[in-house]
This record gives sequence, structure tokens and C-alpha cells, in this order.
Amino acid sequence: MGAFTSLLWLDLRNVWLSLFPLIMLATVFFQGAILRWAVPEKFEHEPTIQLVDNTSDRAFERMISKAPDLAMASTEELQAWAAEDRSRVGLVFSGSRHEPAVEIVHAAEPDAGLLQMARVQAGVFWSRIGGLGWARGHRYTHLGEDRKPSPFNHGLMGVLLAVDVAISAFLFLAMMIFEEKQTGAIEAIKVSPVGTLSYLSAKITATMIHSLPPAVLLILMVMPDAVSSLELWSVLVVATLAFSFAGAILGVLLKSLFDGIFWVVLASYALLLPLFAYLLPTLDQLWMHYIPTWGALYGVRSALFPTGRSDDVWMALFSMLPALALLALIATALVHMRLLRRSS
Amino acid sequence: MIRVEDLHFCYPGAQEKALSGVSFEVKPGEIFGFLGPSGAGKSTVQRILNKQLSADHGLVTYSGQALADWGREYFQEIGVSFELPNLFERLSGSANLLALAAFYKKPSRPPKELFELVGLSEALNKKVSEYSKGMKQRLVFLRSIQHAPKMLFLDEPTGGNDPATTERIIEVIAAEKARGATVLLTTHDMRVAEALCDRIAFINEGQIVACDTPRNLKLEHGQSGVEVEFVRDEELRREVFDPKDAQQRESLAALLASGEVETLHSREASLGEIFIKLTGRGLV
Repeated sequence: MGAFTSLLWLDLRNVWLSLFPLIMLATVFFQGAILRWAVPEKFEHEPTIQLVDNTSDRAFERMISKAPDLAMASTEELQAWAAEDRSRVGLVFSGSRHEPAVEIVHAAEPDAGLLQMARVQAGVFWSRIGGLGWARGHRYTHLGEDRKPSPFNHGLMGVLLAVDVAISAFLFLAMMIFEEKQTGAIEAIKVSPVGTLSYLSAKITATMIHSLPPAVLLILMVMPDAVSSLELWSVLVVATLAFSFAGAILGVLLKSLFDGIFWVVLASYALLLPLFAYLLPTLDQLWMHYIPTWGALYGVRSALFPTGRSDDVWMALFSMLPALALLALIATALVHMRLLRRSS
Repeated sequence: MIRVEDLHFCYPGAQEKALSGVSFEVKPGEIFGFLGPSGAGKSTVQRILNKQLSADHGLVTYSGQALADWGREYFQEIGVSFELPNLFERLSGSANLLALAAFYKKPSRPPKELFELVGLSEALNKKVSEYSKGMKQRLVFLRSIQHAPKMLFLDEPTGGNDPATTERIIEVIAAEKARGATVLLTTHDMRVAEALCDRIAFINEGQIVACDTPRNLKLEHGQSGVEVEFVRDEELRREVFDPKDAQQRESLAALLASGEVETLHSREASLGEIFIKLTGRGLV
């Protein structure tokens, strides 16, 4: 048994006996159960936005045929509907596919947040029919005209999957190092012939082995068909790697989870920033695309709900690579120079 | 085996040096003892010699090669037993040994055999978190010898153990020496040092104050004598006579002739007493 195998065996047993993986599995089971049996696939609610398609080339025809509840027959009908309630907004589309124009019909205050949302929504509709895919710099994500509407609980699973993998990989690795520092076991490793790469690669592999089963469980419970998606696993593996390296950096720099709780929380929020943008697209900023959570969220979504654009997953995957390379480099250097530092 | 020349070290932020001009040599197959109270610098020397700390100044050579030039191969040659137990607490004792055994090129001794050596057999598969402090210390000691290293650094290997277990550990260290291992033993237990060490260095406030064989240290710095217990005026009394002193020799002869003597023992100065004499402070 080589140093790597032995360290891997040691880390696997040590982490497993910490019961943290079981807690993670239980949490994910709970999430899966809620998504499967408690969260509906679709919410029935009265629409707050309606549209009328007055474009010369009937640009919204296909979209309306799929979601007839979204549209009204005439501008007058829309105006009457919007006038009844201040929380309703109507969008009257005119012009053509190439020269779009939109009028917002409402009874709300001119500075109401609802109007801002309506402006964003108008942009989203136009980008949908215009077939604009997402790419760096684009604010809206196009999910394709031909895609099947994704059930609400499945969409939530995609978010949870990315966040679970990020948090578990990050914490698993940081905690392994914290514990070795706390018990002094790291000193025993330092005076053994173990090298930095064996040490770190064993930890990363142990983290992967412990982080991915909860993901499998969640997928099996909510979207079993997706479990064989190579694209999905590619995204999850790259995300786990990136977050493991981030955990290693924290593990080396901080004394313990509680001593460094401020930094742990700060790092967690920084890593979760793309989640806010994911849930509220207007917050999306280009620099957020370099945080691996962004690639994880959008990559998982693209893999779970194919848009018809085959490059979507790979673009998300590639967006994680610079962060992965940088985190791997910093983690390796820190483990070598601080954690396993031997005098020379 | 190991040569240390003019070693200086100061911990970051500390006002005083932890080591100041420490020089000594450990010969192959020798048990070299470092005797001194807590904070004297014993463990700092060990940490520099096992490459956990870099000396501010000085030269250390191992097998004729500067320590700085040794790469990871150095750790194949050494075994380190720490002063404080540093184990994987959730794993069993045997798992702790097996996990690290695989790092070494040489085959390690089976845990069961090692556990028997120090009376830990019953704890072989028990979680380390359930061990007492002394048991943990024994396990740390076993971890250091399991791969039959050429050089052993033992920092308080008997700490937290009762006298009977201490005797067993002493026997194992003696067996390691018989195998050909060189040992650098750090302790403040003079009994262990006297039982094992070929040579001893007294270290105090980061400096070596004396270094020689235990016998020479006693001859040079100790005061031997004859301790006599006798009954006079129905009271038990005790007195020590120096046989080198003519007047005291006469007094002893007179006492022996009086028939009052109850017990008679030769008395040697202990290493602890010599340390106090040299440094003005105790070993603990």
C-alpha cells in the first residue's frame, strides 16, 4: 500500500467516523423528500404580468401557444385587466422581431419596483424569441423555445445539488485539516516521508468520495433519469475539486472551524454570491462568472434541463477552470509551505 | 550519526533565545540523553533535528551530510515519539499504526507484536479516544519504532505511565539500541536516563551545562558517601560519611565499633542532585 492509498484509507475512515457524511446524507435525504413529496411541480397563481402580441410578424406566437395563460387577445382587454389591480402589469409588444418595441401598461406608481421587474421581463421575452443564448456579458439566460417547461421542484433540486456539493466539499476538506492540526496528528505526518502531493490528493479524493454520494441520493430521489448524465457528473466533479481546494486553503490558513468562523462565513458568502444572481438574474455580474459556484449552478441547470445548445454545459464547465487552477495552485503551495513545512 | 554545532534558536516574538550555542554529537548505536526541566530547550533541539524547525544559526549533520541537504529520504531513517500524544483519535490503536506504516519502505512490525511489548494488547482494536494518557503515549512510542528506524528521537517516551510500564518501555528502548538504532532521548525522568543513556547532556535555559557518561558526571560533580542509620539515646538517627575524608572515616569507624549501627548503605549522588548542583534548579 503506497503513501497515497494509505492516506486515502486514513482520511476515508477518519471522516466517515466523524459522522459528518451521515449527517450530510440525512440532510440530503430530507431535502430530496421535501422536493419529491412536498414541493409542487407547478404553482397555480394568478399572473401579475400579461402580454399582447401586436408585432407585425407575430413574434410571440409560438411562445403564446405553449403558455396561453400569459397572453391576452387585445390591448383594450389588457388595459382593463391592468387597471383592476395595482400589482398587475401588461406588456404590449409591437414592431417586429428585428425592431422590437414594448409598451408597459399599469396602474401602479411610476417608481414602483413592479415596473422595473416588468422592464426586465420584457427584455427576457425579447431575448427568448430572439434566440440569444447566454454567454459572458449577457444578463439573461435563454432556455430555448423548444424545451419542455421544467417542474419547479426539479429546478430547486438543481440549485440544491450545486450548493450541497459546494458546501460539503469545502467543509469536509477544511475540517480534515483542522482536526489534524488540533490533535497534532499533522506533526506525525510531517516527520514521515509523506509528500505534499500524496497528502493533498488523498484528501481531495476522500472529499470527492464523501461529497458525491449525497448528490447521487438527491438525484435518485428527485430526477432519477439524470443520474446517468455524463455532463452533470462532469460539472459536479469539477465543482467538488474546486471547492475542495478552497477548503484546503481555509484549513491551512485558519486554526480551527470556530476560531476562524468569521472567515469561514465570509468565504461561504463569497462562494454563494452567484446563487443570488442565479435566483435574481438582474444581480448577475461578469466577475461572478469566475466564482466556481456560478459554473456549478449554471452547469448543473444546463445538464439537467437541456436547452438545445450543446455548448451550454461546457461553457459553464470551462468557466470553473481558471478558479480551479488558481485554487489548486494556492492550496498546494500553502500545504507545502505552511502545513507540511520542513526545514531546509 | 548526528553532529550539532553551535545551534541557536529563538521562537518568533520571544524575548529570550530557546537555544544558545548548543553543540553535541550522538555516536552511532548510542543512547544520548537530554536531561533538563520543562522549557529548558530539550524539545526545541528535537524539533530542529527532525526538521520541524529551522535553526537561526548553527550546523546539524546526519550521517556526515548536512541536515539541510537531506530530502524526504531523511524521514525514512528516523522515528519520532512526541512529548504529547498526537494520534487519530477516532481510529483504533492498530489502525493508527497501520496508517503510517505504509509510508515507509521498510516493512513494519505487526501492531499486535508491538502492542504486546508495552502491555497494550487489550487495547489493540480499541478507539484511541478511549485510551488513557499513558496508553496514548505508549502508542506514540510504538509508532516511532514500528518501521525499525536507524535514528530514534524519543521525547518523554515514558510520560504518564506507571513504574512497571516505564520498566517495559525502558526494555524496549534497550532492545532498539541492541538492534543497532541510535537514540536521542529527551526526558526529565532521571531514572529513565540513568537506566538507558550512554551519555547525558544537561540542558538548562537553552544551553548545555554538562555532557558526559552518567558515571563520569557522578564522579565529577556528585558527592558519594556511606549512609548510616543508628540508634542513640533510644532515637533513630541518620548520617552520611564521606569515605574520602580522613576525619569522617574515623568517625564512621567509631560508630561501627559502638554497636549502635542499624543499617549501612553506600550512597551515590543522583543525576537530579547533580543537575541542581550545576544549575541551581530542579529537573521538573
